[in-house]
Amino acid sequence: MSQNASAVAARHKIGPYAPKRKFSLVLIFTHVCLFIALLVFVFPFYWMISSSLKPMADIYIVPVQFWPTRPSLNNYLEIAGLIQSDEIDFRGGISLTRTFLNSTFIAVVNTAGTVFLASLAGFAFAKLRFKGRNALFLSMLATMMIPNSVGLVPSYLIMAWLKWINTWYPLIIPGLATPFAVFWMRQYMTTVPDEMIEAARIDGCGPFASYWRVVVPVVLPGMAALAIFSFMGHWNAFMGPLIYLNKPELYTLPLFLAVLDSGVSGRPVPLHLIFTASFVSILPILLIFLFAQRYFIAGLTAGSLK
Amino acid sequence: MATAVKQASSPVRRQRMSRTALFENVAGYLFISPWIIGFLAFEFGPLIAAGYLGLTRYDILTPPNFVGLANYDKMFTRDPLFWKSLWVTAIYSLSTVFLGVIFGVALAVLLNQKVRGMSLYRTIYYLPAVVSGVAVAYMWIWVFTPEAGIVNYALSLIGITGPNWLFSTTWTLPAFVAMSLWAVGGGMVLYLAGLQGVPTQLYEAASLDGAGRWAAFWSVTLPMISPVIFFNFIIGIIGSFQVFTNSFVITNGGPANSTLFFVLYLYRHAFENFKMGYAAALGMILFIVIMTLTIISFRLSNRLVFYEGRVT
Repeated sequence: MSQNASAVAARHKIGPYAPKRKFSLVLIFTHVCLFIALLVFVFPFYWMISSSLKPMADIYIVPVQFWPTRPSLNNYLEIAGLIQSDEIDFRGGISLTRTFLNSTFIAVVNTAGTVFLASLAGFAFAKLRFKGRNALFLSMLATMMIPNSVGLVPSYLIMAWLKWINTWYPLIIPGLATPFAVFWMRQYMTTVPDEMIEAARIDGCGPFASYWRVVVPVVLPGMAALAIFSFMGHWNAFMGPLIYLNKPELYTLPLFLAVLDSGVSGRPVPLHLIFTASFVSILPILLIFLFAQRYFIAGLTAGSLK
Repeated sequence: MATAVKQASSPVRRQRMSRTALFENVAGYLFISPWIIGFLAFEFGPLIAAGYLGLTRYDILTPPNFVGLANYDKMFTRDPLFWKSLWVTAIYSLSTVFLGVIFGVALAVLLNQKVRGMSLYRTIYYLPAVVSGVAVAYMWIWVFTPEAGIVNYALSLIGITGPNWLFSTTWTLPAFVAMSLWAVGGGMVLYLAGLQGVPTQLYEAASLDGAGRWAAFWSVTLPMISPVIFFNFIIGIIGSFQVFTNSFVITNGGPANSTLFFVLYLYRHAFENFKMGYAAALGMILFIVIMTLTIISFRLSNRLVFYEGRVT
């Protein structure tokens, strides 16, 4: 990414002017600030990991123990149910493994659905000519401003009417073609030259074929960025699962985390296990981001500036 | 784009391409139908329904009972918690959005100094923006714990005895603002991209006119990235007015309702007290507040935001 950016910068002569002296005061100041910011951003993560390796007693030690003196993976085994635990209550089939799989399923189905349906709609808005296209597109932009929580109560009543309470449908169906996702894909698709689609049409491609064979391969980075967005959103979602699910076997990972702190009555809150489970729950997001960040940041910045 | 549409609907063109045009019309509507259905069923429908439900008393068990403006009357005249939650949310929202812009732009400017390892910094700064939700809320509880927490530990290093953050009516809201600033990297990458798009000629021209770094920042950099700032501002307002998870998990509105955010208050009415009518009315208020703020921002943006190539 940095290579790309600097190559672009070199070609177009953009970016601020480089400092004239190599070790100016400004540069030193910059580095000090950047390093302090780095600590602030990284330290909470580090602390979460380090706490997840500590037994409960060590977590409460004051002054703070930055490096675990007795590091062990026991917390991970305990939270996965591999060793006996009297600190958490695995009632009604609730466990880290189960809720992890539930969350994965919901997020993956959502992501695949969103990327497909939103890119199809985005393609229509960008490249197909149909009556009322511009008016519809503008009204979609306007609806992006409507906050989700406004319709919370009626949405719940609609789901209840559909008999979708205690199913995953309310978590999956409404998020499949959000205005944001459609808008995102549409912005990407407008960069595909019309000539490519015209050429495909002459070769006998219908709308779907030109979408699938011509446009999709070109906008894959945009789709990748949308996929990561969508996965993160659904993986972290809390209010939806909180409202719509009350059967433990359907719980998502955030709900599991939320009930962990009630723990087993008469025992202290299992903070060491909470840290461990919290870290397990953000790990997939961190890994996806670190592996895909090249697409992600490029897509993010491109999408917002178009 | 607009001309393309006009061409397609002009009579000559329509006659010649009628079959293809018809086919494209059908395909177009088919392709966008998932959005239309989702919009009608899960966005527009609920919004209209909220408008009606807000005029009723409804406890789910018995059918809604039309009461006119009684919910709103109660809200405005006899519900101090309504005003409290609105106030708390507004303070939080404005602080996070303004500080978010300041810190985001500052970090982006620092990163734009052609420093070595820029992309590594950028990745790490962005990390907090990808994680959120319950796991992060737990992390914050512990970061702000009075004795064993790292915030107060860091403060003690410079000789300050930190407050009891999450149990103090004065310090809880600032702690929440600090939590949101941790994710400032999300806006930062956008500002950075904006900064990289500022043409060098403008800086050269500014320095020929005798502008120093600071003057160049105010009269070149800021105007050029003002559209990005505006974008983040709007997104920030809409998002921060709906903050829920952190307050639900960390303080559950306390202490003494000092973190009773608006959506948490709405949630309590709907799903703890089962006052669906009142909760729907609260939703309408949220809608009106956010719309008003958005419209005001757009009005102001005409004067404050510089769009390249637009003749004013």
